[in-house]
This record gives sequence, C-alpha cells and structure tokens, in this order.
Amino acid sequence: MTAEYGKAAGAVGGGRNWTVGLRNRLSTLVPPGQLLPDRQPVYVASWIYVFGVLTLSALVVALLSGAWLAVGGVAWWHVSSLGRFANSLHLWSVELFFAFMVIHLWGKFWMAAWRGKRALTWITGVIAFVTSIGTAFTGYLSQSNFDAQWISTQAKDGLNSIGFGAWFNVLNPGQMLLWHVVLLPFVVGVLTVVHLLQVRRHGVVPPLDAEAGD
Amino acid sequence: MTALAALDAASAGAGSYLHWGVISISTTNLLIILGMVVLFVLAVLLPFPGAGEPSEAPRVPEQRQEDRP
Amino acid sequence: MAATTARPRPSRPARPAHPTPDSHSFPTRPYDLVKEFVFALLVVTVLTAVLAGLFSSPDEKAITMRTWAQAAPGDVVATAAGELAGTTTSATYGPPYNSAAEGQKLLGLPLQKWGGVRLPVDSQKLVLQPLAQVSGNPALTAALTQWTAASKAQQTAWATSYSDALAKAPGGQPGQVPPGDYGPVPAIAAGFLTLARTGGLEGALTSSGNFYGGDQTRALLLLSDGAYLEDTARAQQLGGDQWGMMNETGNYPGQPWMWLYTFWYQVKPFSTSENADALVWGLMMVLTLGLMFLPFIPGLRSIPRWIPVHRLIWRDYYRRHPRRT
Repeated sequence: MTAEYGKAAGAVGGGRNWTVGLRNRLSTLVPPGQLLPDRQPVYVASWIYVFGVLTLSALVVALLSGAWLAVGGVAWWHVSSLGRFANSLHLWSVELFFAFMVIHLWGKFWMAAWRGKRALTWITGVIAFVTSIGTAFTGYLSQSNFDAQWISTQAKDGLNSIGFGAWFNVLNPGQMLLWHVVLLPFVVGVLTVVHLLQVRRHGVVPPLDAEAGD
Repeated sequence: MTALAALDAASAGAGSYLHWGVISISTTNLLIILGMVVLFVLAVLLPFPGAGEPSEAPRVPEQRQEDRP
Repeated sequence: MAATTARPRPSRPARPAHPTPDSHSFPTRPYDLVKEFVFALLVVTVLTAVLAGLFSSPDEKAITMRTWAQAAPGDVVATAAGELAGTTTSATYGPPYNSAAEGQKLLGLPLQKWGGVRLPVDSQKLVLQPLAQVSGNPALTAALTQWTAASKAQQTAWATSYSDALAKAPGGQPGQVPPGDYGPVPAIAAGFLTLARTGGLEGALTSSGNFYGGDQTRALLLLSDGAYLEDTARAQQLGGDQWGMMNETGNYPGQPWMWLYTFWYQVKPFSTSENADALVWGLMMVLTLGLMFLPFIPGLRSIPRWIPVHRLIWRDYYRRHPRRT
C-alpha cells in the first residue's frame, strides 16, 4: 500500500512527496552522463577554454592556503616564517584567481557565451566575481597590520555613505574575520557549484552561427 | 624619531609607480595587467593540439528533430 | 517542418533566424575532465608556491598608539584637543557613529542617515575615558575635574582655542603654543600623550566591552582622526586620490581588479564632491548590474558579433564549416 502510494506520488511528479520531488529535480539537473562527461564538442579547441578550470584551481589553492592559515590562527603569520609563507601562498593564489577569472570573463564575453539559455551561467559568474572581490576585501581587513588599519578606516567611508556600514563594521576585525573565513567563502562556494552545474547542464556554447549537427 | 624621519622611512618602502596624466599605477600592477592581456592574446592565437577530426558522429537527442531543416 | 522560416517582422537589422543549437548535437571527441582539473590544480599549486617563495607577502606592522605618540607627538596632542572640541572627523561624522551630520546622499536619498546610529561613539570619551582610569597623577585628575565641572559652551571654547593655537604654532609643537585661555585642555592633552607614550592606551579603547578585544572601532576612529595614519599611507601611494584602492605597500601586487572603482575618485565630479562615496558606489552598482544582465542588453550583447574575436577562437571550426550568410 505504501509502495503504491509512493509510486503514484512519483508518477505525478512527486507532488506530495518532497523526497521524490527533490530526487526528480536533481536527476534532471544535468543530462545523463554530462555531470562528468568524457567527450566534448569538437569546437572546444582553444587555449582560452582552460581559464575556467585554472580559476577553479586557484580557488582551491586559496581555500587550502586559507585553511592552513586558520590552523595557525590570526597572528601566526606575523611571528612565524612558515606562517608568512602560508600567507604568501594565500596572497598569490588569490592574485592568480582574479587574473584567471578576468581572462575567463574576457573569453566568455567575446564568445557571447550567454547564448542558448546560458544567461544564468553568465549571471552566476558575474555575481561570483563581485562576491570574490568582497571576500578578498574582508581578507585584507583581517591582516591585523598597517594595511588593515588603513583599508578599514578608508573603506568605512564608502560603506557608511550608503548606510551599509551601520551593520557591516569594517573597523571590527572580529566580525570581518568571520565574514572572510565562514560566510563569504560559503557564498562563493555555492555560486561556483551552481555555475559549474549550469555549464554541465547546457554544455559548452557552440560557435556563433553554428548549425546543429555540423 | 621625528615625524618627518618616520615618514621618510615609510616612503623609502613605497614601491615604484608610473604616472601619466591622471593615471598613476604601480609597476607591479601594470606588469600584472599587461601579463593578463598577453596571456589572453596568446590563448586566443596559439594553436590548440587535438583540434582534429571528430571521432564520433553527433548523438542527436529526440527533442531536436524539429530543428532540422 | 518550417520552424526556421522567418516570420514577417518589421524591418530590423538581420539576426540569425535559428536559435543557438544544442551543444550535444555536435560531433565530439574524447577528453578527460578529471585529469584536466588535476593537472590544472598541480600547475596552479606549483605556480603559487614559486611566486610565494620568490616574492613573499607584505606585512607592515600596525601603528600602535605608542608608535604614533613617539613618531608624531604633536599630532596626538592636536587630535586629543580636536576630540574635546568636537571638530575631528569622527566627532563630525554622522551615522553610524553619531548624529552630528546627515551624511552623504545618493540622488537626494539620505542613505547614510537611513543606516542609523548603530555604532554610537562619543568622540570626547575617546580621550576622557582612558584618562579617567589614570591614578597617581593629581594634576591630571584636577584638570579632568575642572573639565567635567565646566559648561558645554565653556568646554568647547577652551578646546577650540587650544586647537586653533596648536594649528598656528610652529611645527604644531605644544611647547610653542602662546599662553591663552585654554582651561584644562593643555593638561588633558598632555596627559593623553603621556598615556599613549607609555603604552597605556593600547587596548584601552576596545569596543567589545569585555576582557576579550576583537572590535577596534573606537581605537581606529581615534587613530584616523589624527594625521599620522594618513600621512604614512600617502607616503606609500595608498591615498584615495592616489589610486590607493588598487595599491599595496612596497612593490607587492595590489588589487588591479579595483581599477574602475578607484578611477572615479580621481576625476570630477567625484573628486570634488561631498557625496563622492555614495555617488561612486551608485555608479559602480549600475555598471555591475549592466555587466550582470549584459545578455539582455541590446547593442552591448552584440559587440562580440561586431568585433569578431570569436573568429579567431573558433577558426578551426569555421574553416571546416564556412559560415552561410
């Protein structure tokens, strides 16, 4: 009796059963075999295509080096040369991250990669870019050094001018550190996952004016 | 230490900057930006290995039939 | 099925009548996604390690109240006097710290005011509260008593006179200030300087309200009320009108991605506007939304078609499948 009910619920798209509904949504998110495909369209033949995966890799290195810094704590890199190296890894992986991401954006713009129902891919990419800037910003505020003192006292004016500074207090390193280590990386992570799923869902955009079956 | 001496020490650590009209940019930042442009141009121009004949005909999903001329 | 036959339309620049084809309807070739990712990760890790090993990262020590007092004692005294006179940046800031000003407006909307005074800071207390905790200095205690007993108007008159006199004194040296009616202000300011010099000011202005620090709002407001922090920053090209938002101390890489945000501060009308911060933020919000919704903006979204960089990217494909126009 229960099995039949479940089947019936599934048959009408899982209307009453949330689990079935979610399962159906997830299983149709990406075409079968396209989550981790082992074939790609022949038109994917340019070095410009590597900048997406380079951006993702730089993000991973930034997260790992950030985790290493977290192990040592806020002041570790000031007092330890190993900690300073960890900090340097974090700085340079972030510089590479932004460099690769912007080149990726340039490439996607000139390819008009939003075509073919890919607007959400483009949009999530831009939001991820802007959120990354915010994440880097809170990182600068968490340095507990002269940089942090100057950046915070300057940035407060911009944020206060639009009223946001009343909640987001850049002069409060305790708050900024938590945004940097917990809240914003989580948002960047979610955006990255959605962005990647969109790419896998729609596939790599065909060349302009390409015909189906070419 | 007088204030002036302190500031001298600070500006001794200041990086090298290029100025052109209203534009002022650090040499490091300029190198990064130029490097990115070079990388982009190279990525677009350099030949990509494996850009050969396809090894499999397209799998045409059923729902695309109506697009066929 | 004539799905691709153009329907009668008003005259319009020619656009392809067929939608973007499904990417899965093209010939494919094998590739290894996971191997590509692992390889990219290795390359980036090695590249990062090399850059980090070669160039390291900047770490200029924070300015402590003590180093400030040692490097620029006149600035500390002037700042203390200014806090008492209510003329410093923080004292006249407005929300979120106080109601002394309305703050900036964007297109007439008082956004800064709408944020509310959610981080209340009494600028006078930045000076008076740490000094109140000093014991064993009867002259200072007497000065503070004299200050507290005076009327608001009298306090402002004393502090303003002393501030003005300091500004006129050669080199801003307190010792060079001519005699005048300054009340207890010189003694209070001197006491503040002594406290800063001995390190007694560190941690004394915490905003967290308990043993554990972590909120430097008040300390940073005091520090930025002085000139020393900004002078130090400007010496390193970090000032707002020096493209500072993009820059880093020394020769280290900065934030090149901030180029457009900081550009507006270098040019009119922003460089001379009282509402510069709100205006720049508003403009950058509009531009960001423009970038985000580019796929829906006619004209802008056609630029890739007009300037055909894609012909280079997909040159192999176009050679095999010449475009039918």
